[in-house]
Amino acid sequence: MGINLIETVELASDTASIEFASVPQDGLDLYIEISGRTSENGDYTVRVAFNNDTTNSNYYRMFLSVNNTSATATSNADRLFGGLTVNGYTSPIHNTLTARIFAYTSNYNKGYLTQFQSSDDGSSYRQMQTAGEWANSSAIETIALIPEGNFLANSVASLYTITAD
Amino acid sequence: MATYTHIATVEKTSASSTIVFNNIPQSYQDIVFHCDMLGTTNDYVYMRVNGVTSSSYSNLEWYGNSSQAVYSFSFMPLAWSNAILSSSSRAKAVVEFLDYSDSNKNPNPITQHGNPYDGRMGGGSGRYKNSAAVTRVDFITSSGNFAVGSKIHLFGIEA
Repeated sequence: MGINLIETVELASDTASIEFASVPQDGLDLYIEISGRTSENGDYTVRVAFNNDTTNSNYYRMFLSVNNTSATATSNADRLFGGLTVNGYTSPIHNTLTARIFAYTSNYNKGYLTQFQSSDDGSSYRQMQTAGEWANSSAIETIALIPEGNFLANSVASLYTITAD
Repeated sequence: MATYTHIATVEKTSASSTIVFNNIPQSYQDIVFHCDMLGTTNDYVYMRVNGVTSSSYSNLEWYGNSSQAVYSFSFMPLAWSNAILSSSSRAKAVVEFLDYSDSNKNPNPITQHGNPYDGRMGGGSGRYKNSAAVTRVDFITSSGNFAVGSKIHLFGIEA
């Protein structure tokens, strides 16, 4: 078994963050998937904090984004992981965000790739990828996913390790 | 969630221009590479299937740099030209071959890659225009070398 489910968090109520507080240290890479939505009406609303580091200048990311009218790309110091909400749609629409975090126990900066899609009920869509790096040589022991506003109830996030055994 | 089985890891202990996975087992539904790569200089990474060097590949990529989104299409002797290496920050990539062992299909990898500090990230797809099971995949730098510590993991995904 090379991929191991570590934890799934399913929110019973609106919540300010989702945290994986004890990341096992025996994996090669990490994989996160979220099916959810956020209270904030924006495309880029979910950020990450490794080991409780919420300083944007310690992170750097590029993103490539396509919606139903245009494609854009940019880069700057930011903890952006992705987004789950477009134009404030309502339940039952939930959107998807996945992330791969490479060599998370290594002694060099940690890189990650994410992708997500979001759509409302017919007028707005977005698909986006990000490539990010956390400038820190410490092993990742905790991960917090922090939206603008809240994750809304029934959002689900899972953390997996990808291992060599 | 699909079941991953770790097949092999290649980690560079000396700089060279290739990372090779040969004799890939044919017993999985799909295979996926997780790439964590550093260059001896700024460089591109290409990929070759079954050791074939002829012009039997097509490549479509869409990528972003620090200011714009771009797409490109090309026919080239190598299937994949997306990830950009640098000597200062590591490039990441995920490469998937679906149904790689079916000798009746053209292998067509899909990729996601990024190196934010060096200004390029995106995705791509390629096609090796011959029907063949994928038994070997070479990752190749365009001019420099993979630096020591570069590593690529290969996983099999079971049906």
